[in-house]
Amino acid sequence: MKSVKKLIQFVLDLAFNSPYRSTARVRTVKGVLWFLAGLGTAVGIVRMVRGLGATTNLTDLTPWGLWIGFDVVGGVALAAGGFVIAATVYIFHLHRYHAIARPAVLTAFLGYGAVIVGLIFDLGRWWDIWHPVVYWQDHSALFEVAWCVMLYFTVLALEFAPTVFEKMPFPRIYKALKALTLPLIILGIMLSTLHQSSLGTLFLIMPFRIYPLWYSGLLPWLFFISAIGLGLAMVILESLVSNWVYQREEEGTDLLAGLARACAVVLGLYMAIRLGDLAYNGKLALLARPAWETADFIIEACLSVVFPIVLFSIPKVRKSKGGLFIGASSTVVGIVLNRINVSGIATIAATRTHYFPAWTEFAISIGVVAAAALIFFFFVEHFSVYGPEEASHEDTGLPAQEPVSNVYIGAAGISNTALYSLIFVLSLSIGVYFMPGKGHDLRRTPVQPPETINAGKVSVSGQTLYGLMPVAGSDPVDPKVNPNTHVTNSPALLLVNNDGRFVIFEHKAHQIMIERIYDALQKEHLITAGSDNTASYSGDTVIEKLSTTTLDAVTGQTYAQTCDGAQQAGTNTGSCKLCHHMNYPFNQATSCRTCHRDMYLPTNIFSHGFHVAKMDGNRSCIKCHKDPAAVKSLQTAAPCTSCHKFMIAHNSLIKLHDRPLEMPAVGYMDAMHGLCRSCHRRMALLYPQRYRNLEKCATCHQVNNPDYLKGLPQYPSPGEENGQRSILSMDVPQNRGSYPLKENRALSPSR
Amino acid sequence: MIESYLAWARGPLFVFSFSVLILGIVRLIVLTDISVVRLIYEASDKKLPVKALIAATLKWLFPFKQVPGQPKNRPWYSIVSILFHIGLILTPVFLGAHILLWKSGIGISWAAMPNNVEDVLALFTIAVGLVLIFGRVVNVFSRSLSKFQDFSLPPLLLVPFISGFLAMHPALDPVSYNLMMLFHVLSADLIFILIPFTKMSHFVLLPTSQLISELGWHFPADMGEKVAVALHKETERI
Amino acid sequence: MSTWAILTDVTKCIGCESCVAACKDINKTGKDRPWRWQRNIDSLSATRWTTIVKKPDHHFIRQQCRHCLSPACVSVCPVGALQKTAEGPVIYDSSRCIGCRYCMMSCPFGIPRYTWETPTPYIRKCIMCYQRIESGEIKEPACTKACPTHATIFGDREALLAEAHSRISKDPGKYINRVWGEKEVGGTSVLYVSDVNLDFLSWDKELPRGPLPERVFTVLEKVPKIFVGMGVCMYGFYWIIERRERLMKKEAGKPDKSDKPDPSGTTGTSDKGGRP
Repeated sequence: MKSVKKLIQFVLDLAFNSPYRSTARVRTVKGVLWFLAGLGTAVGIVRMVRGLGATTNLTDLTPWGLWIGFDVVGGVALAAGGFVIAATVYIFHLHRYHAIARPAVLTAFLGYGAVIVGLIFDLGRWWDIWHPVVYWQDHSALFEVAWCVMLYFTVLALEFAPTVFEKMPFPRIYKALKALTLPLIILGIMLSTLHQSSLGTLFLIMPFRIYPLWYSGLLPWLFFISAIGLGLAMVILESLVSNWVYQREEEGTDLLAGLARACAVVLGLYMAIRLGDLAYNGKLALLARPAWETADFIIEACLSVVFPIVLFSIPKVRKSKGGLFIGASSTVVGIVLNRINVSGIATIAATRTHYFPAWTEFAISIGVVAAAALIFFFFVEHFSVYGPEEASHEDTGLPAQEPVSNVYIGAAGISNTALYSLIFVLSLSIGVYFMPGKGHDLRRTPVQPPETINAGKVSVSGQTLYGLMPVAGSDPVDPKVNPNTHVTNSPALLLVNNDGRFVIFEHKAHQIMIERIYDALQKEHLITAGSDNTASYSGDTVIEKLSTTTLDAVTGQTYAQTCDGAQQAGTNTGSCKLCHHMNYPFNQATSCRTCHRDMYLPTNIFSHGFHVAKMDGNRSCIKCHKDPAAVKSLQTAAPCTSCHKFMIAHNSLIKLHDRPLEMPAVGYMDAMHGLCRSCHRRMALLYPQRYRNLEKCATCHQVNNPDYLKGLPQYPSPGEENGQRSILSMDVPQNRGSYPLKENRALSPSR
Repeated sequence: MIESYLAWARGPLFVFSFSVLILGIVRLIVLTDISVVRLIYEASDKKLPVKALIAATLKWLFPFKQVPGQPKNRPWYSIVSILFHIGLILTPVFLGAHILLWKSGIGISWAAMPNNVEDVLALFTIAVGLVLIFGRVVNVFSRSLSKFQDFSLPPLLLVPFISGFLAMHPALDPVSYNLMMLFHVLSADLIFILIPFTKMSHFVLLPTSQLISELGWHFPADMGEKVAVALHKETERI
Repeated sequence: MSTWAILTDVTKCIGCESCVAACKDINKTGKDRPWRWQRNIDSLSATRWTTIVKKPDHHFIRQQCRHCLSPACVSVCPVGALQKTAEGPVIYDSSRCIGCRYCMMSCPFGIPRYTWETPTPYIRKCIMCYQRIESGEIKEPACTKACPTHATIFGDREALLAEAHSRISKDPGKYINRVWGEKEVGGTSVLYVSDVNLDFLSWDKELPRGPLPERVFTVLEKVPKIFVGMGVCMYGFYWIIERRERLMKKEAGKPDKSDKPDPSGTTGTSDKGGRP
């Protein structure tokens, strides 16, 4: 209880009694960081709610992107400064560098924190991130990395803890932590060695994916050595930046110069091994290949090694602030680029696709770094990271007010908090504003046009088979090859819907059949031969003939015979317009269903036995068959509506279960389907014996509907079609877009 | 053209302004809480004046009593102000069309008022609002206290009411429905954005600002000197 | 049956996609939808675990998980969500998965798919109807059963391999003399014989013959040695340097204690009074 009180007092002191006061520069830098963190937070929320698909440009073929490349693989390497400096100071006793040990450890600690946060955003099932603790898989490099990162994060926390505890009123814990230092440092180095190199091992399994300039059996070694170089560069950079932010005097440039020299040596070793490995495996020739990967490799090598080595090997440059800054940032950019290359960019060519991070991915990556930097500044301002905090000019003790409207928002001392939170709120809202509106992309995917194949129907020993037919010589389908051919000699493959399902349509057989019928009809003077005027032939007659008679019965011939006949008839194309009637406005083609009336099997959902049983057996006949003299059939019976007054419930509303909210408004067809189909389906499932046909399309979409279905769109029967065809004589508006759907439907006899 | 602006105003812009509203309110609450904790931390007398706090809040919620410095009471002005607040809150919250939007957006809904009641409420709010503005302009004492936002915010608050009412009654609408809707949505968006940053934020800050000003009297011993230093008036005599 | 396998004869496939329909049906994967991460609606996806790749001249190649004999995806999974069964199929335990997508990166055939659209995503791929066959519900995978031309058949891997070779030797003019899946990456349980080159089924033109996981195992074997070795080395360095410093200071006549290097933590600045 006492220690809790102490802790609360400590937190309050920390919050309200800090000696540090922000300068304008610190305020600007922090303001920018808060803005970036706000953007990242907005994207982060959307990422958690809508998933990876909505917030990244990742695909199944490029499943790892910026978050793995920069946040995780790059982030771990960036945080390598911690173990390098710890080893320098505590193992090799180079006490000069003691002053930068704390910031280095803090950077590493926050870096690993950022890695873990970045990983949480990237993992699809991040709430299961602890699974590697339970499910051991010692053959997986990622498993090893997971354990090492976990342990090392703990070690770093303990390494940094003395900085916090020296200010806290718990001296015993502080002493215990200090006593643990050496073992912790050694454990930290051991763990770092393992996982820095294991990050390279991660990519050993994908030689087929990574461009050969980056793939190497030595990847673990290369990753480890370059991480040391990067760690040193990062310590230099971070010292320079925080000196600039807090306007400290340029001290310790000598110290940083020493680090820079070591960095140059490590980088040189790294590049030597890398080039040696390329030479040993005979991959140096790839550097001469004109590919963008070559340019990428050269840029990476220049940034990460050549440029820094040149800068760092000149003592004058090494000891100047500018030289150090340019060299160190070049190294940082170059080696992070190497990590991104290995885990992403250099694998893109192999996948034959492309990937560029979405802005949301950048926002998260930058936001996480910004948040880590803010925490870094917090520690610098409230604890002795760089030494005892300098006395700074006092903040004004004026109460906080809103900048524009001068609304009073609080007591003195929170004006900075007010500013940062204002920036954070605005940037978060801006992030929300720019967020992609949909969780998925409703871009149209290209639908493949109908494809002509050499497939056909063949009779083999009495069995009819559909299959591919060998092509002999030239393709008779191609009019260029065979100028006399007006039609395909082989069946066409018709795509029926987007699911890729299709039926084989035997074009030639259809053509022949229809021509035969034409001939027959001409002889009966039902149609005028050779006419191409729509109105002058009665297509309905043909359709009626076709739909009421089986084709073979009309022609009286076998498939083989009609085939022979057509080859002789050849050029008679009078029947084309029956299906390809281009002179019908807004009409594309006659659908199969127009002729094949039985394409949807006729159904009957009326159960006579059920009705008899329900209505007291034989006494019930007259309830439906009202005229005792008439033949008892469906035609003479009372319509169903005489008892079932409301087959469709009045005022029934459409409830769509299978559509997400953000879909476009439902069309008429979907609305009608939504109205009836769900109930039909349920009844068909519940009573399979009684209503087994209820779910089938033809229950409602039938030529001769009972009366009660009059309200539903009916497909025209031959008789009705004459009436509908007369609409053609109406004036057709030129503007197709505003043409009402209903008339359109009526115009098309095919629908 | 107007349709696309309208879609923008009630799509992304609405999401933006609404998140500014929500986050801004959260920010204000957090900031004032920090202020309160800080004041208690710094105060020499750490007792919380709960009674005085409630009394002060209620007093300012129903300001019938005399405002210090004001020559005489204005009870009618206070009553009209309360009625205005009631109309301001009830009308948009219980409008059926708004509830439908909530329902389709995030799936929650509640009972709506009948539309004719809403009409009456909207007209009432507009009338009361006009009276308030009139009172502020005419009364010398009010006018002298008021700043720019005090004059500009009440008319702005009336814009969505007027435009919404006209949009609901096409017969009275001087412009097209879409244009009127655009005015309605844009003015509402603007109000949402402004609420956390202007005096409209009093709807969350009222209790805490009482608390802070109440706690402000529990200053630590040297507070006066600190204020003087902060104002660069340390050399002046008190 | 020792190792389950599927042999697909490309020359027999008519591209009817009955296998696709059967797979979608038995696994209840749902309708294909046009997502951003899907280049074609009929390419392999989380709702389409097997598909038909169309190539010129009416060649249809069924694409599906190859169920490698030493699968890279299983070896890299940090939580064992992907498992190689004794019978051969590589199956997926969704309760273990953490969604890291390393399996997708490591698959040489680019097979595993991800349900990107949800905030609770899973890996999706063909599992050779393992649980259903194991429980006796069905005798063979739904896809091979549905094939009308017997272009894809199910059986023991040895037997199917023999069948594949006998088909090639019976009609050498028809087939390319190679059984895809026999040797690549240590062999796969899904085999192909074909009259067209099927190298496009993998990322690389020439996949390595040996199993991929071994490349990692050779490195991971050394991990304990490096771990312990690094620890011993570091302590050794510390001990040597520390001792030398102590002796030097003793020689210089300074008291041992006052300037002893601070071994106790990152206390640098506070103990030493900060930077100069």
